[in-house]
Amino acid sequence: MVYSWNAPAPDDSFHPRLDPISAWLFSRQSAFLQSGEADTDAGMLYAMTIDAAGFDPSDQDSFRALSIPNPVNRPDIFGHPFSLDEMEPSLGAQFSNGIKDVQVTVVPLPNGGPRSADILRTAGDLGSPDTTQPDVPMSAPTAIIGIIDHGINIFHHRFRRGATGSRILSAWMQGARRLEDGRIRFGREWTQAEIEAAQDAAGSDEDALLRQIGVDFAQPGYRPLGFRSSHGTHVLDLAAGLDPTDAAGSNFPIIAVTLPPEVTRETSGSMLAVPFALGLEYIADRARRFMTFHGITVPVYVNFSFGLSGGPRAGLHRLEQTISRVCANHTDESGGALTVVTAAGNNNLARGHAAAPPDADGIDLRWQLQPGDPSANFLEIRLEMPDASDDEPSAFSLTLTPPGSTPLPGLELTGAADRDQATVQFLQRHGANIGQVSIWQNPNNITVITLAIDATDPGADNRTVAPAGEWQVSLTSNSTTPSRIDAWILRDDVPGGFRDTGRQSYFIDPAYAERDLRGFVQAEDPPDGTGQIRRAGTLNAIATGVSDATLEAPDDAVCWVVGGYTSPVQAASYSATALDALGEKTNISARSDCSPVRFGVKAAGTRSGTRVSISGTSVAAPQVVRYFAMGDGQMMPNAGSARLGDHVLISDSARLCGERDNQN
Amino acid sequence: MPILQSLQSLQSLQSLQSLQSLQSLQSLQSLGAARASPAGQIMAKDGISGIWQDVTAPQPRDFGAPSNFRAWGGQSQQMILANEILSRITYGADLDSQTCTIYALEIIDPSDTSPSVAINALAHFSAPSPDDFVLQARLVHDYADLRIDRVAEITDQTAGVIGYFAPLLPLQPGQMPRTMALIQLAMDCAGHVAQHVKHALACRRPDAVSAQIQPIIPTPSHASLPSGHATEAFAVAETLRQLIPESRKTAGVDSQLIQMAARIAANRTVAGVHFPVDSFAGAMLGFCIADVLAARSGQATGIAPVRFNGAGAGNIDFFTSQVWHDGTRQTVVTDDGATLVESLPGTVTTDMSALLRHVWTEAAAEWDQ
Repeated sequence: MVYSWNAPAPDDSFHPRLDPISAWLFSRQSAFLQSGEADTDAGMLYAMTIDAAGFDPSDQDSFRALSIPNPVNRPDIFGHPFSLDEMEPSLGAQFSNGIKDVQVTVVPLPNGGPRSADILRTAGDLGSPDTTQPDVPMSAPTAIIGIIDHGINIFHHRFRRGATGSRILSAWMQGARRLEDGRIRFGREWTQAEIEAAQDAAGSDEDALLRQIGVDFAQPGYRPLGFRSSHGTHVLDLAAGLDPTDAAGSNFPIIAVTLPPEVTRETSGSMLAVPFALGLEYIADRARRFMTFHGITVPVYVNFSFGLSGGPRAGLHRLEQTISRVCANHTDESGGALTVVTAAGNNNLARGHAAAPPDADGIDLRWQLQPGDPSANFLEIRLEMPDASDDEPSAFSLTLTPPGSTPLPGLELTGAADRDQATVQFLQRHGANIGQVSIWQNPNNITVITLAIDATDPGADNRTVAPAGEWQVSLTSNSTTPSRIDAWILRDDVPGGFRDTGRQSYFIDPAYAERDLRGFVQAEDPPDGTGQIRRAGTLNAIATGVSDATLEAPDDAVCWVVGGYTSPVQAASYSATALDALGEKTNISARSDCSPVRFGVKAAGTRSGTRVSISGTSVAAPQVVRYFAMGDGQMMPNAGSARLGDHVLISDSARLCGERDNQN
Repeated sequence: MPILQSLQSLQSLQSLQSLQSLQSLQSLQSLGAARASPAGQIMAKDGISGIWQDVTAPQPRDFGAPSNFRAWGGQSQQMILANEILSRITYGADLDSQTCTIYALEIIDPSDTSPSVAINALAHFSAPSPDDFVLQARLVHDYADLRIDRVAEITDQTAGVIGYFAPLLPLQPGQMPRTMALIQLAMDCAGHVAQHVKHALACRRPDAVSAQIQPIIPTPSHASLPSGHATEAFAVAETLRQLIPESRKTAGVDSQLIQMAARIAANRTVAGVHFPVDSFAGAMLGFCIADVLAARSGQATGIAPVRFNGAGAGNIDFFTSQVWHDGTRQTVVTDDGATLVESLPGTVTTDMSALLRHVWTEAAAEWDQ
């Protein structure tokens, strides 16, 4: 027998609260964990629930005694699952309005970051207060612009005031080496005074500045700012960049967070949650300190041009819930609004979403894994069960057919009665684990079945991997007929600047046509609804429950979703489509390409004085931040394709697409 | 946009190529400066040579001495060296079992006036079944997903593979002529032998199985299995692996050499002109050619005979660790238990070539410079 299913032995299973994708990544020592000289030291893990109160939901360091060694049966790894059973009473007390289904997410620590014994923080405090103030205080601002991204040149001229002043109030480089006396427990914080002092000391030597924020080839790790074009610099310029001589700059201070490269690099994107949540908390905290100092209340707009695929959707992703709670908490504490603007996503044509016809009691999928893929692939099947089954464990039969194989024996999957345990089976090939199936029943009548399949090419490593080609997945409900069945393939590619690449798997469906008969890309689902692959439902999974945003009161909305368009106001073919049936929505579209043949829009390159083009909804979102914060551009009701959303933002096309405006 | 980026890298590739053609033009010009034209030389001789003078005989060269080799031009050297290997290889084809066998010849007492010959089977090849190729064609189709990534390499490698090995090493072609001669020899012989086996097995190419493969480079007219690129790349990689003194090797270079060979082989599948199974046969044959080269050079006393049996290959996929890992060549068995590549018991011997031993010794010494 080539393939077999095996339930894990008791001492071979991961912690029941570890989410299945993290478990797979850690138990397989994914490439990203091995990256950046990840030895035993760097394999040490840091785990926490996502919650509204900050880094540490425990009282009086009680979690410190709860470090669990060996969470994935590897003696060189230990973690900090903050939701162990004994923690739950205190968690419940602290977060009575919090997440219904506490799950543990594990993030690897950046090199030089804290070890578990170092993690010490009292609730509500994000590091000791910054007592230093810039020599020239900023005038009272009208809005604060936040950004969470990777690769931001915080010294770029577009973020300066005059020659050496800075509009950046503070920046948290999460992946940077921690200073001995660092105010923050991992990464490094740059205050405005520190940024200005560095700019003053460096004069016109930008290399000297960039070396201090990661372009140091003597240090291990990834250096997004070593490239001519960096995602965060470009996005922040679109959101907040101004000429340094523009006096208006003082009205729009910036708070920046860069995610650890290890997290950005993980191809599935599943590691983004905790660093993002902490980054959002950080921006809110620093904004409040600043507003208190000035005795004012102004809105805070945070751009997040990153996306996730999969997830429970309908606003149920832990990260979405976290965003809501952080924003509500911020309003409670400061009286001001905190609004997140995120990108719709670029996966419209990635063939990563399939839906079963209405009333089907199952779904048959053809899942194509690319050859030459050094990283694992993940598939999530989301089943919405009718309300009546609320107290019943859901039960399914899964039949898997690997490429060139006959169907494997059917697997019976039953949701756990206590609703938050992921039941797991391993798929073995010649006795080696090459896959994992888990079922997780969520209290919202949603069951998520996650398939992990290993890499298809191990290089010179002597290990059994999964065959490339067409994997057939057939799932049938053994209990009630689900009211809705969807399947998502998780992201498996890597942002620019990283050496290794995943390869995006995709669904096969003979009824899917990428182009119409004239050869034009078909960016919208055909109206007759034939076939399984759906462009609708490709929206960024952290922005699935935000349909209540209105331009009349933009700050009332927690999150805005921005799609991309090209001239003449035509939705970009890659710009994701919302799934109406789940209440998803694209709110606004902004320009993401200058024309159908001139991809991208122009904004700052890594170095001062350069401009580069970057395409995608990533560059559309920050234009909406700029509109909210500075009033730049003109908002028009959308009269075109529904994919554009309610409104279309017309930005200054000479700035975004002009050839001559290169001096900035 | 990834597609755009790779398009841009293509463009930069083209500009690189034009740069190279410029450079070759310049080197031609400098060559022109070093060479006298016939018309010019007529005038120059007339001007200075004068009346015939007494002459003395030049220093004679030793008969049959390997050291004479260094006086020969590159193309002549390659002809001589190729014959040193190919003269010890012959082929058989058994109609009943549809097996092509490569034999190694051993000349006994080659310096005697009546030498004799021993013939020993070195490698056996039998083709996959048509059904296997149908399953393999699906893999070729799937591999097309990688074309955008690999197109630059594929285009380069239509012209040869040695350029992809030199960057793994401190290999300076100008300063290391014997090393270059040996890897060129490994490649030439791999090409000759692979062509013969291809001809005997006569396997059709992917474009004959499906109209949907649509190769991105012209499909060669010769047969598919074994892959010539795989044979050449593995022969070159393995020859370098055996040639470079251990004390001169960087950490992990053996693995890098074999991984590069496997990537070159896989690129032909990405291009749409080879099945993955062709690469298994080519890798096995490439290792074999490198072994013959080493044995003829006096570096090994025996060669392990091998067998490739394609029947039952099914949809087996080719990548490095299938054929080589932890410094060891692998027996390849499919998921269904069919043995695709195996080493046979015993050893095959061939006689040593004094010339090849001389060249090998000089090549190895180049790594000590």
